[in-house]
Amino acid sequence: MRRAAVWAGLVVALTLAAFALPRALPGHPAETVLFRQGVVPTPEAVLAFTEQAGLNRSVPEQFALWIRRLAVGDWGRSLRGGEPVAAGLLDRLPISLIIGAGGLALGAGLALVLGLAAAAGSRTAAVLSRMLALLAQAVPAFVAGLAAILLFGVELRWIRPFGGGLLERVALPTALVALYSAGALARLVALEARRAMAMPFFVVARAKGLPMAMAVRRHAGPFGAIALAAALRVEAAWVVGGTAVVEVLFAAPGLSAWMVDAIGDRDWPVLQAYILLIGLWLILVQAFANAALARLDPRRRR
Amino acid sequence: MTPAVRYRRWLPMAALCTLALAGIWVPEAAVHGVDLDRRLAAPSLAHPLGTDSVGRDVFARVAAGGVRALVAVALTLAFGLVAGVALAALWFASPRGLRAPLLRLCDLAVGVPSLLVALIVAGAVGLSPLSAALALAVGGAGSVAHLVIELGRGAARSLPVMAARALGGTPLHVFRRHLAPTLAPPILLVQGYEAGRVLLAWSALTFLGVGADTGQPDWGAMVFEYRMHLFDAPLLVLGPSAAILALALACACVADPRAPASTAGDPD
Repeated sequence: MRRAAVWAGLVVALTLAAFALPRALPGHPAETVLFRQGVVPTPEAVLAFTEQAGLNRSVPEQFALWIRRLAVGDWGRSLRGGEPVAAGLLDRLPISLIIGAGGLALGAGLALVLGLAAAAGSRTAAVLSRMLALLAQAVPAFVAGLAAILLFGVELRWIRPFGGGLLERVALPTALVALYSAGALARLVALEARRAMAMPFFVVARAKGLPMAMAVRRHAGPFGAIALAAALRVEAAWVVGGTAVVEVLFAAPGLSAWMVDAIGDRDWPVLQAYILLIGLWLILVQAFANAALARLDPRRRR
Repeated sequence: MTPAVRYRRWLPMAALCTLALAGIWVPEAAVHGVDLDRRLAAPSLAHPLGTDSVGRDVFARVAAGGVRALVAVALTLAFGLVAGVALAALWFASPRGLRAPLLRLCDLAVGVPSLLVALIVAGAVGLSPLSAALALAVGGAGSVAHLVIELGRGAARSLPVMAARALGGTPLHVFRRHLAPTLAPPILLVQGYEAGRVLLAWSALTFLGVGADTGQPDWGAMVFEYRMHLFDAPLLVLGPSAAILALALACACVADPRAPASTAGDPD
């Protein structure tokens, strides 16, 4: 009951932030959008624009209207072209979701495999996770992305990163997000698994004659997975920025490029939708990580 | 451990700072000077990294970009440190009931996607080392506050601190002689890691270019601008990329976990 209240409070705070943040930007959409459309922002033109966009109402009224429409699935219309925000979201969300959520899931899976292998004594896995961690720490994602385009798109010609179908376009960005999150997570998994391997139950498992790889998977694995789930909550915030960078680099028509344009044009409805979605993504990952922790860690079930 | 060994991990950073500061003395004309007669010139003594598509000296631009990057990183760390310590001080000073919400506030600061906040701030007031630092420092402030609260709670109960207080030491004395020396090393260690993270975020911001003055010789902006010349003049992309890599590695060197500041062993 208390937890439900906390989540509800978070969502309310999120809608307020999504509504207020775009309006906190200096400059009014009337000026930027009319300028973009080549219209001289005379007082009449500005008045007509604000009236048409419903921006002449009081701020609380606008907020109430936005929430009421959201409740029935109407995300409002973009101030620039007048296209429905919902349609734009539907076009762009899948791409961002594959790159961000797919990349994070892949990275977490890779981290679990690499980390446990490293804990079980594999030199290759230890060196690989170390190199991935160093890559994420020292090489900007856009430099690694350029190198990947050069290697896979130009030298080897395996994929066409800018043309081709959806799969070809998102393959490299998704792989980049996955590799960038995998390194540090894998080292965390290995560290936690090694801590478990020093405990008596692990020694017993080995003494029973369980092979190393199986003993690690069965008895140290859960410890690694718990640490991984806890770390996902922080990694989810990085993925938002990482996705924005690779989307721009690979010219993937996802949410981030849309948002970058929307900031410049002060396109409030689009920005509201974006901030709301990012907030929901963070809340969902948090909830997922908490659920996973509760499932994985019997000490938390009381 | 001799002082020479202790300061060795600062060497790469010092070398790079010197190199970047040399960029301050690079004549403005070399950074912004357009010369269409020497477009895409090959590296030479006069232009160690060649010139770009409008004839500007690439080395001068990389050095000038380095100064801006260093300023951005230093400002971010400073803001994060000050705000984090202030938050922690507030936590220690506040009554029990207020402590939990304050901790949640720190969690929130850590969990906010800092690059997104920085993009919005840059869109609002323009991208500069100052505006980027203000936005990027949010996450750092949260983690510094957590660290100071966690360490400070332990230190406050430690024997030397209790003894110093029992002997009538003023709060300032206790802080200066007992708390600060215990808290400083781990915080500085984390700042070293943070520096690399901030540098990559600053590069990403300049690469995305929201609210940026496109004439500024920032590393990310240079990679974005020159990426068309990846084949005819690869040095244009390699120069700023290598600069980011070198500075990030220098930051990692400063935060080397095998240095005496940390007692934790390296897992691998």
